[in-house]
Amino acid sequence: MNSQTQIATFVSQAAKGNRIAQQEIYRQHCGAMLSLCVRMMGDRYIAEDVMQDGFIKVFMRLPQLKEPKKLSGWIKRIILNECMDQLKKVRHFEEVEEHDFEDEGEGENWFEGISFDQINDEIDRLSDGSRQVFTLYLIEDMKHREIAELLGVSVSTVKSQYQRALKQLRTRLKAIMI
Amino acid sequence: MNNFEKYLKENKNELKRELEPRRELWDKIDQKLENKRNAKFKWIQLSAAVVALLLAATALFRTVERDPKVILELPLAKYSTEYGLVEQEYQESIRYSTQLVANMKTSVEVKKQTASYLNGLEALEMAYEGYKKIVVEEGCDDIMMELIIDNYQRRLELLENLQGEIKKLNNHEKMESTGEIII
Repeated sequence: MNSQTQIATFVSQAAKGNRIAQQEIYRQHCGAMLSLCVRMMGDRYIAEDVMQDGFIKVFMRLPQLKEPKKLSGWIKRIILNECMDQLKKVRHFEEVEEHDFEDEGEGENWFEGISFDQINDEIDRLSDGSRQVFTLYLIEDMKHREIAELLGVSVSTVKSQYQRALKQLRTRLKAIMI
Repeated sequence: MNNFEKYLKENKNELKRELEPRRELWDKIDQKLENKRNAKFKWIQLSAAVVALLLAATALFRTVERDPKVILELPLAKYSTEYGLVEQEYQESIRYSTQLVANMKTSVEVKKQTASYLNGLEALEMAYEGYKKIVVEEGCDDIMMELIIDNYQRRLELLENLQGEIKKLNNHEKMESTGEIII
């Protein structure tokens, strides 16, 4: 059985309420989804609660999924929407004016020698808006326009937040190097 | 794009950390799904019980002989004997409604205009035959029980709508033939 057929079988079984198939789908996606939730919510415990509610929606709506090969993207979208629903309850997203963040002269690859663990730790320490936009744009490959729609802000705010995130990250990582 | 940004993009998979959730998180999800399943199941049981009661009351006015052997052969009887009785009541109601429709006078034009209802009924009957086959081969679980009851309800609904449509079209034809103004 190839992987596409296997996914289709799991989806079909899970949609019928088969708990083993549901658990397998959860097992395959929970690590990445928890990471995404933590980056979006900024708190591990809140992220777990959000992911829990998200996965319940995933399994309740699974019979509606028409293309099983799109399962991962579909799960990510539901989990992201769940994050947004929770974030909207506690705060609104502020528009940020577009700034030209100066591009520091970087003739050398100053970042070589910094571990990815260190970079990940610094991403986690970014301010909420910057961390969310940075995660969605650079890590999750979403377009500026998609992020703007998801967060309910303008495209220019998304671009500014992203540039701000890069600058914060660069400054903090350079400080580690000293 | 500067070197740093390029470096991050090229290595974005390193930034997609996988975090391990607490073990009990799946148990909580599973429990909540189970509660939702039970709530849905209880609702279906209640609906089935109400339908059974109504059908049983109707059956009192119709003298239908019941053969226990026939009931046991019905797909839902594989789920439980009570559901076998419910299924028999559904079948009687469908037979009764079908007979009512068959007794209605219909012109060729009306028949043509209501053909989609009959096609719908035929499709539901074919689906039912498919369910029967699955039940014979694999037994009757919650999902099959839901599908079979839903199939009966949809067939009854369709027959009821068909009766209404035929009545409407017959009235329309009658008014046209008598020259009455139709608004």
